[in-house]
Amino acid sequence: MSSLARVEPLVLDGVEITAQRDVVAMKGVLSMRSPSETVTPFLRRVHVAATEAGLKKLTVDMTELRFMNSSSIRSLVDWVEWIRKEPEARQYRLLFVTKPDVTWQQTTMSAIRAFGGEHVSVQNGV
Amino acid sequence: MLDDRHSTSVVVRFSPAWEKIEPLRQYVVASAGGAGEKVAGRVGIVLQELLENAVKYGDAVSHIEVDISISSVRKQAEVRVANRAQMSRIALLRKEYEAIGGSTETANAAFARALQRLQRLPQGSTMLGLARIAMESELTLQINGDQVIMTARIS
Repeated sequence: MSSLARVEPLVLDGVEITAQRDVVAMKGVLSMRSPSETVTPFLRRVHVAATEAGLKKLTVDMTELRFMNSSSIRSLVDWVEWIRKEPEARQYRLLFVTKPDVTWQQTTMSAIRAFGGEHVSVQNGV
Repeated sequence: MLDDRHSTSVVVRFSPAWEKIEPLRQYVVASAGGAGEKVAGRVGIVLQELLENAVKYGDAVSHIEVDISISSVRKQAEVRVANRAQMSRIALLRKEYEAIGGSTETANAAFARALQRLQRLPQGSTMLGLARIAMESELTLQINGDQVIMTARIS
C-alpha cells in the first residue's frame, strides 16, 4: 500500500481532497466557515501517515483549487507547524504546486512560503 | 463608486448567512471578467473576506449592503460592504486596520505577522482577513457608531 493510500479522501460540498502516494490533491473551493472541524483533521491524518512512512517531500497539487478563504489558510499554517514540531529525522517538505494565472494562489502561497521557510516550497504548475 | 460609462454595477442587500457568500462571489467574479483575470481574481478574494467578516462579526439580523462596480475600460473595481457590527468588535477592527498601514508593503508585512501569531489564537480564529484584503486592494474603513463601511479599490 502506498504511503498515503490509507487516508480516506475528504469529500465535502464544493471540495475534494485526496491523498495518494506522496501527493495531496485539492479540487474545488475551500470556503467553509469552520475548516478546523474537517480540513484540519484530514491534513493531520495525512501528516501522521507521511511521518510514519518517512516521506521527505509531499506534493500538494492546488492547480484545481479555485479558491481558499483565510480560515482554510490557517489549516495550512497548522500543517507547517506540525512538521516543525517533529524531530528533525521525521520532518518533510511541502511542495505546493500552483496555477500561475490564479491570483489568490500567487499572493497567498508566496506568504505561506515565506512563513514556512525550509519546510515549504511553491512551484507553478500548468 | 467608479464613474465610468462602461462600468458594471452589482448592488446586493442580503441577510447575513454564510451559504450566500460563495454564490455571490462566483457571480461577481464572472461579472468582473471584462476587467481582466487579475482584477476579477482580486475582486473575488476581497469580496469573500469582506463578507466573511460581516457575517462573522456583524449584527446577526441586520442586512449587509454590498455595492460593487467594475470598469472593464480602466481595469479597476471597487467593492463596498456596509453592515452593523457587534460593538465588542469595533475596537479590535480599528486596531487591526491601523496595523495594516497604508501600502501593499505594510499589508504584506501585516499578513506575515498574522500568520506568525495564528498558533496563539484559538481554533476558528485567524485575524487574517483584513490583511489579506489589503494585500489585494486599497482598503478604507469608516466607522460610525456600530455602522461599519469597508471600501476596497482594486486595480
